[in-house]
Order: sequence, then C-alpha cells, then structure tokens
Amino acid sequence: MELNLAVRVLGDDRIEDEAESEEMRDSAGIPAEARFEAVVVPHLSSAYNLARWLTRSDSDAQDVVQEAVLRAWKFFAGYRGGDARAWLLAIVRNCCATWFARNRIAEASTPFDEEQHAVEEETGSPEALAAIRIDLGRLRTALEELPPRLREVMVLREQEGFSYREIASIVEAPIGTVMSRLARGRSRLLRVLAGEGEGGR
Amino acid sequence: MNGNRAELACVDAARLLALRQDGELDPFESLRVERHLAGCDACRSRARALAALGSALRDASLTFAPPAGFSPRMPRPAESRWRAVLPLAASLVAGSLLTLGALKIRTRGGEESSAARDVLAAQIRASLPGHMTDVVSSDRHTVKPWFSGKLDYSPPVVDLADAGFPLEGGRLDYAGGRTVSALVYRRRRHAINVFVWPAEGRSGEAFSSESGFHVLHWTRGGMTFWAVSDVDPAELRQFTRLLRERLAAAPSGAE
Repeated sequence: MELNLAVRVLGDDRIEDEAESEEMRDSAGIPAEARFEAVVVPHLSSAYNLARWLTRSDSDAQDVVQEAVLRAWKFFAGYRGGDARAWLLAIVRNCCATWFARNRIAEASTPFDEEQHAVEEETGSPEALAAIRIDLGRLRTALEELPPRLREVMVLREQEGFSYREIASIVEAPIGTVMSRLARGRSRLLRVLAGEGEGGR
Repeated sequence: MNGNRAELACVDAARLLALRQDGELDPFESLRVERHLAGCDACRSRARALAALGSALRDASLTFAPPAGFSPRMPRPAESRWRAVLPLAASLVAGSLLTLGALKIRTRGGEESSAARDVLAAQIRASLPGHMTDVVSSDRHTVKPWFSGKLDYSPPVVDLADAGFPLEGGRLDYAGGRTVSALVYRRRRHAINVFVWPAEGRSGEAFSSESGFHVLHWTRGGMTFWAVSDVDPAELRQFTRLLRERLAAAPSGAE
C-alpha cells in the first residue's frame, strides 16, 4: 500500500500531512496520527535522555527530540511494528548526527580509526579495579567527556538496555564495532574512576 | 593437545566478561566463563567492577528526564478527521504529559490525590487501542458476574442506555494500590470510565479537571466511585447524577 506522505510544517507551527484520508486509517479505523502518538509518546523520555547525553544541553536535546518526532512522522509509513523505542532512538541518534555536523563539533567529525585505538584499551589491573569507588559525579563527567561514539553505545547498552544487535542497528555499525566501542568506553570510565588518567584519554 | 582445552585463560575470560555482563554469552561460553570465575580472583574483581559500573550508569542522577513542560508537537489530522481522533489524541497527549511527569491532580488528601492520579493514568492507558474493555457487553447481567472470581467484591453495574450512556463493558484495572473494576460507558465518541472499589470516604462529590479530563469522585455504601471522562463536565455530572439515582434504587445493580 502506497502512502504518499508529504509532511510540511505550517507557518503557525502545526504539522499536517497530505495523505489520502482513507489510507491513513488501519483496519480498526484508527487514524495514523493517533497510532503514531501511541507508538512514539511512551518513548519520549528515552529519546530525551539519549539526545541530552549526546548534545550535552537541555535546550538542544529538546530541539533534537522535536526534530526526531517530525522525522519519525515523515517515515511512519516505514515503521512496520517491532521495537518502537529502537526505531525512535535510531531517528534521534540520526538527528544528533545532523546536530553535530551543524554545530561543527570536531570530535564527531574526526574519523575514528577503530583498529588503531583497539590496542590501547585494557580493563585495568585487578588492584586498580578493586580500588574503584564509584563516584557518581566523576562518572557523570567522565561519561560526558567520552567521545560521542563511545558515549552513545554506553547509554544505549547500560541505560536503555538494548542488545548488541539492536545497538548495531541504531548506530549503523557492525556488531563487532559495537562490542569494541563498549569495551573502550568501559575501560576509559573504569580508569577514570580508579583515578588513573584523569579525563580518560 | 592440552587436556584442559575447555579451560579459559584470563585474557580470554576478561574479554568475555563484558558479554557476560550484557547477557550476550551463549550457554557454552557462559559455562566456561562461570567455571573460570569460580577459580580466578582477578577476573571476579573485573566482573564486579563491570557490574558496579553498569549499576552506577543507571543511577537516577545519570539519567535525564525531560524538563517539565516539554511536549513535542505531534501531527494533527486534517479537519475532516478531527472529530474522530480528538478523544484519542487528547487522551494520548494527556498520556504524554503523564509520561513527562507534568501532571498534577488537585484533590483533598494525599491518598485521594494518589487514587485520582491512578484512575486518570488508567483511563489514559485504556484509551490506547484494544485496552478499554476485557468483557465487552452492554448487558449488565453479563458484565457484573464477569468480575466474580477476579475481584473479592462485586461492583454495582447499572444500565443507562435509555439516557444516552450505554454500557460498553468492563475490565480489571489498577488504582488506589489494588486491582479494581472499571466499568466503561459511552457518550457519543467519549468513554466514561467508572472505577469502583470498596473503601470508606466522603459521600459528597469531589470534582477535578486535568488535561481535558474530568473526574467526579464520591463514596457511598462502602464503595468508592471515580467517574473519569473527557466529555464536558455538564454531561459527566448528568451521568453521575443518573448513576447515583439508579444505584440508590438498586444498590447492587444487576443480580
């Protein structure tokens, strides 16, 4: 079934679609706008959390989530059921990438040589690990200072609980890369908490 | 060949600890890792550190909730479909406000205000497609007995179809810290949910409104009633008056 969706943002800030009214209802007669809200609204908190960690700004996170909602509506025809949260967060993450590009964040635009950096990371000596005291304030700073590609997989894995496969789909990278980034992210965070290498280089 | 080729060396186990933490090990790998951990202090220490890091990352102080009042604009249908979707969209928008923690119900007393929040949240959940009724019937003789065996009380069910408030059915829901009955009436395109459960309280009616929903609450005959709907307040009051009249005439509703 073809859904010719043309989304335009009107001058008075409403969003409307120009789809054929018949096709916008599913068999139960529920309009797409209502289905869309039911799909998206439960995951707005997760969307905001991810956007906030990536942009590191309340106002930018709100803007990104709004953009993500617009984009999700535009692509709603392509949502075929399945994990709505993963679907929405992939769009949020995409909007963050756009935000990064627009804001010319150098760290995000630097090509990240996965091979080269793989060697450096270790989980740390057992003695150091035993000495770890989880200082939430330091952890928060350390997570904020992780490179975005490491930060996003940490948030998606530890806070959102996605599987490796789901994370790979959301960040559009192979599973092996996801595992590698998680290992590096964890290693850096643990090193900061153990007092080694302030700033987690 | 090493007779213990199933044994993991630390360097391999350390790599697998992250997968263990993330629930990504297959059963065979999992057994090998657990066996290694049983005999390796260093790896147990690493595993504990990973677990502690994970818990800490999930701490409330490290997760961001949207600021109060944050409400992204949602698509609205063209005018011709507005009437059809308004009740549902309104309830979903209200649901989004609930999700974002912006909802405040003003009623008397702490327990009451918590019950008020519960019934409003329940109403909004019920507004999602497929969630409104567990038993679908306009016959009170079908709806009332449906609850027996599911609840330790029998809610009074009356029919108000002749007054334009037909019964649509009922369901179990959760409010006031317990499983409760919800009776579903309809007024044109609006649902009126009547939550009933045994409790003591004031017989006088308390009225409140939030996010386009109106709530009427009273207690009588050992049961507490919460009528919740997005019909306009006048109709909700009319519904409640009729309901109370019919209940007074036949307190248990149907047989």
